Amino acid sequence: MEWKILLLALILLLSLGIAMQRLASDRLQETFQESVDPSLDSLLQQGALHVADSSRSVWIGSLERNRQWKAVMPLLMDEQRRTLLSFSLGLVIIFTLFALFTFRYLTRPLRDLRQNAEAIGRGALPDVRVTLGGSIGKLQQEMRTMVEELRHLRERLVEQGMEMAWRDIARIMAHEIKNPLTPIRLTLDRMDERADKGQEIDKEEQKKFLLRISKEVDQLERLTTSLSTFARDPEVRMRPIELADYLKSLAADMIELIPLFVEGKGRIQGDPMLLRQVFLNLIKNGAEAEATEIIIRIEKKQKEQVEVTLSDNGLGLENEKLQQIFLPYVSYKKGGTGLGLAVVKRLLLSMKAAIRAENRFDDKKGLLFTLTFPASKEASQ
Amino acid sequence: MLSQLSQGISGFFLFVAGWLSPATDEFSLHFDEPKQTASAWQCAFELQGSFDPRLSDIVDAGIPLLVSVTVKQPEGRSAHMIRVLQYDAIKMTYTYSDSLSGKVVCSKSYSFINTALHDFRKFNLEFPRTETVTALSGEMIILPSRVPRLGRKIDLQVLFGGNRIVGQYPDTGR
Repeated sequence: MEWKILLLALILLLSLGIAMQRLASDRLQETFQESVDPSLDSLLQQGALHVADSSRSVWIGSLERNRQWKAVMPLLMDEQRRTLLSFSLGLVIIFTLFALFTFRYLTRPLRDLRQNAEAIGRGALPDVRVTLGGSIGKLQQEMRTMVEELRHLRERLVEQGMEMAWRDIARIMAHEIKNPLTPIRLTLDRMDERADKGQEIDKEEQKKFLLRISKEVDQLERLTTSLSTFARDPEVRMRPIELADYLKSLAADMIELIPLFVEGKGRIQGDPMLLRQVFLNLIKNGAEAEATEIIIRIEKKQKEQVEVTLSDNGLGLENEKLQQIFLPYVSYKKGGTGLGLAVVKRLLLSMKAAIRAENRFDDKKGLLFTLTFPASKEASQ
Repeated sequence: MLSQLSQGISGFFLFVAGWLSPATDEFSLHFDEPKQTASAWQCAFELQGSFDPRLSDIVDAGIPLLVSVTVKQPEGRSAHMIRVLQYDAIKMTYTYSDSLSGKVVCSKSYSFINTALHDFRKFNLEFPRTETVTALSGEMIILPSRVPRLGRKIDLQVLFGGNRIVGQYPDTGR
């Protein structure tokens, strides 16, 4: 943009300059021509012919001077004009180069500042250099200070966030571990008390106590397994899967827990083992939310995507809670570890798939999970 | 003002074009076929083009017209001369003189400038007979002239559209 303005200014300046110069030199030439007496040449020539030989050279000199003046004057004017024009051109070129340099010198820091501002807007923290003094330099300094402050703020936030996350994990884990431990301790205390009193524990009671302890140990085991699954990066072996067949087979296995209805078809790219874990978690989640049936619909939405909706008729959730159900250790049901749906999301992400949850109806009855998988272009194996 | 401005713009472009071009098409040197004599090769050539009317005023005013002429063979041998056309205000005649190889040869006197210019156009240079002259290239430079009564020099190249006039034999049209 700068060079266009400069070019325009240059053309205008030169055109105006040349026009003015031409006007002035034309006027000057006219004045010179009018100042020469037209009859002087013939007078001097006549004089030179008729004067004595001794003074003839003086007359000839005057005659030559007059003629040379008349002959040379237009050429001199042309020469002056050309010289002036070359000089003007040179000046304009120097001015242009100087202006270009100044423009660049002034606009580059502004352009850098704008780029830095855009980078900050995108979340990056650019290295702002202070290259100038004055107002622009001050602006650079201000931006540099701002970037430094943002950097410190971000670092503090990261540290705080990590600390908070660890605190939460520790708190929830302590709580989750304590939950089954309390009934175990109570049962053991009761057994100990009986032993101290010399009371005999009959087989029926013994079985009852052991069953209680075993149940709580199962809960503990489940908790640690979920935690391990969540913490570990899953090993992914992608392959084409005919989803309808796969889910129908799964439905047959789950028939005792909850009836599953599979509609539509579509071939996706995924890991069958991880996929099983995903759907088992989702189905179990529905069953635990008092659902009596689950409907799974498969639909090829786009050229490269297959969408699977899994809807149940169990309990729904408030919108605020819905937004948090995929966060680890967030559970809204009794005895939940809060890791099931977090694991589901993690496994799906590892298969380049996505999940979202919403209520099926406005009255918060029933949940609808929508899963998006990458479509397979290969033949099913 | 608008017409002056447009003249200014066109003048600027013409000036730049004239500035960049090495020579004009107005004048050129035209060579005749070199002739072999008993002692040398004679190379005759002529300056072709129309003289500017201002030239006669210049010469009449006692300002000499100086040209430097160089003719080269492809082998590298060259001949050089300087020709000066001047007016004698006392005798009221025109003469030109050639300076070549350390000697000066004067022409006859002309009463009219047109006849003087007619002969001024024609040049004749010689090359030794030992070599065969098959090709030639010539260059004429318009030298700055001294204006004796005004005590300065003036460049007359504007009257020739440039200070360099060229030609060659055989003429390839370039």
